[in-house]
Amino acid sequence: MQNMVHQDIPALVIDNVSKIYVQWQRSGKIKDIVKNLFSPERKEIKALDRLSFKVSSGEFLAYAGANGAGKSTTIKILSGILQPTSGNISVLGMFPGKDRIKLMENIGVLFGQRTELWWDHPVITSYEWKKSVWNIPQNIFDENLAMVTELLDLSDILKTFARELSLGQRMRADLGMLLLHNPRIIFLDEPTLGLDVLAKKKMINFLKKLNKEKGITIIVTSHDMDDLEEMAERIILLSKGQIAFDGNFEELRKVQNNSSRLIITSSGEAPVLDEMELIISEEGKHSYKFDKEKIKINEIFKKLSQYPEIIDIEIIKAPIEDIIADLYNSWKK
Amino acid sequence: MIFLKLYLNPGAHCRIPVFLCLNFKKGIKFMKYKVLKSCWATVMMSAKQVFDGNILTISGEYFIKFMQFIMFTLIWKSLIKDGKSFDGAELSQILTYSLMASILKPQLDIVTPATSALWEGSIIGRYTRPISVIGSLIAETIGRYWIPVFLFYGLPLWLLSPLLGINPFPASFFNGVMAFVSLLLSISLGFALDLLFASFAIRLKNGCWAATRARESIYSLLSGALIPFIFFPWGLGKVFRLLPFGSIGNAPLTIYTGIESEIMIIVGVQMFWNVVLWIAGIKIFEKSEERMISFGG
Amino acid sequence: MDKIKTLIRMFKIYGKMDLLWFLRDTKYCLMYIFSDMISTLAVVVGVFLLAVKFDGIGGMTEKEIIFMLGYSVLVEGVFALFFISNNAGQISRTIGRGQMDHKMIQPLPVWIQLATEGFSPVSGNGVLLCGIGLVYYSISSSEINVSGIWIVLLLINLIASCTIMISTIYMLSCTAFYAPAAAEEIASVGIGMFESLKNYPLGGMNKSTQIFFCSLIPVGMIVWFPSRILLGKFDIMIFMIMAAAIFLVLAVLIFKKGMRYYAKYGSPRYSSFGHR
Repeated sequence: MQNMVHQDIPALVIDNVSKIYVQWQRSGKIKDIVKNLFSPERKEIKALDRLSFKVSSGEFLAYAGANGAGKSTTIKILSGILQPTSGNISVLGMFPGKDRIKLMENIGVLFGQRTELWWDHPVITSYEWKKSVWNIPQNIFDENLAMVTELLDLSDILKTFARELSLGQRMRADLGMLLLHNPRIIFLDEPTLGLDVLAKKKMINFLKKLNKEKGITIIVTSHDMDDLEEMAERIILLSKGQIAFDGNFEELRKVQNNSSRLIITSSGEAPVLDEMELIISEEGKHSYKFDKEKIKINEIFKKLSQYPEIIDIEIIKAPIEDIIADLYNSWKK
Repeated sequence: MIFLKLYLNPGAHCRIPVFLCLNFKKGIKFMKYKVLKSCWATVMMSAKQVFDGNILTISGEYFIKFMQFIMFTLIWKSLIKDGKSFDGAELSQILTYSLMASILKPQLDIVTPATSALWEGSIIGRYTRPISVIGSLIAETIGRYWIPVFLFYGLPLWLLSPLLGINPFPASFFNGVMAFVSLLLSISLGFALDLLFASFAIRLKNGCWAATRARESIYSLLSGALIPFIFFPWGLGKVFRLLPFGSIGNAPLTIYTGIESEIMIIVGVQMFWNVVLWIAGIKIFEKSEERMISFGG
Repeated sequence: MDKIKTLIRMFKIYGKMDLLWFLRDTKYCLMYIFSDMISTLAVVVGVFLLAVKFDGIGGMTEKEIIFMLGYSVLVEGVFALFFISNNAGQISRTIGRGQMDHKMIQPLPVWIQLATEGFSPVSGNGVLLCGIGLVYYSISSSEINVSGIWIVLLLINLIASCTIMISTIYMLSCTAFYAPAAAEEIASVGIGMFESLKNYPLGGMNKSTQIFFCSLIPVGMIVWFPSRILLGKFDIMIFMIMAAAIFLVLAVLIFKKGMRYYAKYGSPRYSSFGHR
């Protein structure tokens, strides 16, 4: 695989993109069935609403949002599968709507819970099919095959029928297939979904290595915020088709005034700490949230020294899941 | 007090041991109501899902069916001149035969979701419902294939058939009644055959779709629904009408149109196949159950 | 030139994969081959029995009917060879199940994918061989003068018949863009219509009926009409070529319209059933 360096040309540019879907509505009542045949009830859904952002070459972007926020729609528009209702898109300087074929030679897309493997063929046959369809030169194919086999630990499963692979194995095989043609950008829709802890860790490490060493631009969507935080530097949060947040995870914590957690283990009651909010208190473990910009650590320890029943103290970053959950709740309101 | 128990759990879907109790009548009524309510809900859900498109997209299928029917009427008209008979069957009877074969196709060629559900693995969902698996599959068949086709094709065609010069009525009142009885037996036989087929198909694993395709083609020929048996040379028709497939399609249609005079023999053959194939079907289904649930999907 | 190279490359890979399937899953592959042969012959046998009973039908003798049925099986064989795998011939399933996305992420024009991914030279040859056998048998027992030109005519008619059939199926399948669930199986209905109706000669029907079944519902153009040309009963070959061209153009236009709708609205459902 070629080494890529950061370039000035952005990997992708989304400019004022909107996408409107039409959904058919059904009441489920028999009396409406005939009416719906001739004059179906429709509802317009604005999946994306004047969305604009840029991604530089070599970036690792986490693209998150609640269900129905517009993540998959964005990926489909970027891959040229869907056309935006309005706005402009360019990926690697190409327009997905017009240059789909050329674009597909340079990007890789893997949708969540879908596979590109051939069910009744071994993995290696699917890879050979890919070689033909993408017209990958033999030497590049051999080089990339060796690389993905090693990095994704595929040697045991290359000759296995896709239908007999476990979910984790299938995900690895799909990822390996995605990389055979040297894509410059890859879009991953929920790549860690359904994977066990070990498989998840391996996949995350692999993606980070890919981004760091090969300079491949990676856009990944997921609901698992911990995974995203581990992988990506930048996060875009979507809400109702618009960008609700664009920055890094530290800035995201600050947005919610929620950057840290204090966890106290004590044999007595929860200490009273005015500047902090007690989130949960059970079986001697008390969790507080606070903004470490506003409250100094030595002040915390000063107050806590008045409580001799304290056994243990932990100060950690606020779990990103909690921050996101608070954000989602605030958007609903 | 011992209460009425009706076993409808997955393991005993074919067996219905009933414990009579003091509240016998109330119990039976309650359980029947519950079962019917569950079945009816499944029927309605399956029927409604057909109507997700507008009239153009749904009517495409019915238009093609209608064209097939028109083609067959034209073929029979070109083969048998009006007023003449062929092997004792007049043109008007053959046209009525084709009409009813087209209208009753979903009932005469029963394909339940059993085979596809086994393949996809969604059969497991039927086992988690408080209704017999076979009952569930029957309800889905009625909802998905019978109701929409009857409402949007069968009934309108039957009503409009006089405009096409085709007599939609049975040969006589007695023929009509016996054809109805024969139809019920055909439907029962159709479900039994489908159950048997699904039980065998699961053993074929990846080959089950191949078997499905072959089954449909063989059915078309051997049931008499497409070409009446009286048109088969070399006495083949007489042989085919005694076989299970022939008991499904040919039997009710020939009784309805009056082509067949030995009605009781036909009905007797149907009853025979019903007994044999239901016993075989249930036995083989039970034996194949575990394989179906563990392999499916 | 590039497109032709791409086509050949794609035919090669799909042919290879079909061969590999045959070698790895021989039992199932043979099951499919035999079931296809049985299905096709079962439909054809019905018409043959009618021809025997009535001493010929639609103005054709028994021997001519056998030739016509042989040609019919040959058409089925060519269809199976190029469109039997991967729902290539039942495109409404691909569209209705939201599987067009998988085609859109390949660096190939959609038409090349559709034209090649059904190619099954091993698993799809059973019916073709039956057709060749039946045509050979009917030729040897009839008065058809087989020459080089006749064979070229046969090939042209075969291509035209298949083009008309696949174009009609595609036009029907495009309804799945607009109603994915309702029209998912419409291609099967269309194929069923051709399977059951194309084997019947239209000779005994009046002119307007013949025109109807050779135009709007083109079952007559698949087997009956080209058979008459090959049997020397009809001279004007150009009708077949024109009909094939018209159907192909219509199918392309309607499919492109459907794809534009798909690009605008996407597919509201996805099921991986039957995908690869």
